[in-house]
Amino acid sequence: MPDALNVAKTGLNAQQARMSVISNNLANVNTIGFKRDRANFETLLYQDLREVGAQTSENTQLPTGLAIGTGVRIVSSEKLHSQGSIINTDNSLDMTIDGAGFFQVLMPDGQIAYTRAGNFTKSSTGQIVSANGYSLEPAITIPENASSITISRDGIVSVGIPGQTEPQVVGNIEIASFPNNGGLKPLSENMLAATGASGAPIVGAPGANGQGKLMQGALEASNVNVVEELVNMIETQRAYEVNSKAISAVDNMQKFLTQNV
Amino acid sequence: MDRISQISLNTMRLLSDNQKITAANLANLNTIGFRRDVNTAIGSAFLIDPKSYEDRVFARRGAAGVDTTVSNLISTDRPLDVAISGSGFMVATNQKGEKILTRRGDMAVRADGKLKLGDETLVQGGGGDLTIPPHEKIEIGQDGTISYKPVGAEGNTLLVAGRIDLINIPANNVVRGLDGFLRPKDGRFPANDATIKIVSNSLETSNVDAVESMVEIIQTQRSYEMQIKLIKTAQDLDDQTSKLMRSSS
Repeated sequence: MPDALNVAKTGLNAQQARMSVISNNLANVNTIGFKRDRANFETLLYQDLREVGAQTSENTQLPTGLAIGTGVRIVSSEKLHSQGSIINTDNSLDMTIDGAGFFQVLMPDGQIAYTRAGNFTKSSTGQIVSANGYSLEPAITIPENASSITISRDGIVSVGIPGQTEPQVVGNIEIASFPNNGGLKPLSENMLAATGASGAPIVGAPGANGQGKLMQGALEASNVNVVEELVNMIETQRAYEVNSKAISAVDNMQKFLTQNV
Repeated sequence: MDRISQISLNTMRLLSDNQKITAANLANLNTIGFRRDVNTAIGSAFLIDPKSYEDRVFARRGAAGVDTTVSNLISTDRPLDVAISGSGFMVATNQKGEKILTRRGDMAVRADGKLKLGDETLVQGGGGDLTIPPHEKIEIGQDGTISYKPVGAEGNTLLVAGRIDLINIPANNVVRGLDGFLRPKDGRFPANDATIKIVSNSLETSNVDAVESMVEIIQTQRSYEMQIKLIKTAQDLDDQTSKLMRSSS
């Protein structure tokens, strides 16, 4: 009998975990370049009570078996990499990738992290850095006396220098795409890391080989759909409730037993 | 000493199993493509000769199985999410490489290009794992044909990567293994059924009905309590007997 309690408990745990995924999505509804997560459930192992096809007599066999489930668990949470909507900011260092690909950012530990957040700024030395101060890879430095910055659709960064008629090219932004975006590991600060499951990054100029194109002066909003998350939240809450009902029913059965016998 | 209590105890054990099946169904209320388990029917152990008198018939476990009723579709706006419209199954392989039946459609491409489902099973097409080469875009047709735009291709170049194996199998031939996956009872996977249609950008929910399961739970709870009442009655009867014996001595 307490078995049923444990089964319902796995349901509560899984719904609880799903609720954290949903709250995290909702909390990041205004995070630039955030990609929402989805929790994937799978059934736990089954317990065999009666093997199908077992002999019930010399000449007859069981037409159906009986295997009892032991519940559910969260097998993975997966990032859904659909494009978020694009917000115009007219800030010259704000960038959006229109299509597939990620900006490469050099983390303090020397690893390259990947992000869709294009809200870059200039550091004290004029280098293009992420909102957290990590350098864009490959590093690009804007001269101190630059009066304007232009980033082309294919990633060429050029600056206008007072007194010069021709704009000066200071670097090329390269973006990385992966065979399996879903395999990227989320880090903190809106960054993702490559893993064995994501495959090796394919680095290239924006717009070439299927990479997305760059858009200057715009940011990619979070792809969290508030209405959808709220519907998911209601669904999760109800599932949590029925599982706790199952627990209380089993509890009542036990109580009745101890009180009456 | 009467054996009423033994009969009730036996039934209580069966009811506990049923309660566990319902709890497992409820735990999988939000598992994509899950097919619910049917509570075991409880039958009597043997047929009684109408002329004889038999008052000690133990209940025993009857048929159970998987309910393959089709559930609702939810729209997800993700091209790799597919749902089967109407009856039928997708063929996939589990971690041991055994073929299984599934109604999950939350596909994703692995690092090695193989198409997997949310529970890490591999989608089958044309008798083998489906592999998608590096692509910019994937489209899944109504008949399960997967086409993709290769990386760097011009314009609307679409190549076909394969077709998902879709088969139709009668509900009474579907059985659940101990790993939780569905399989044909006779172990035979029929040829692909071209009439099965799939819908992309959607997923099929679990076919567990919360209300129905709650009713089952209440029903089982009441039957369980009834059995306890019987045990209590048996106890009272025995108490009365021993009391009588005591007063006459």
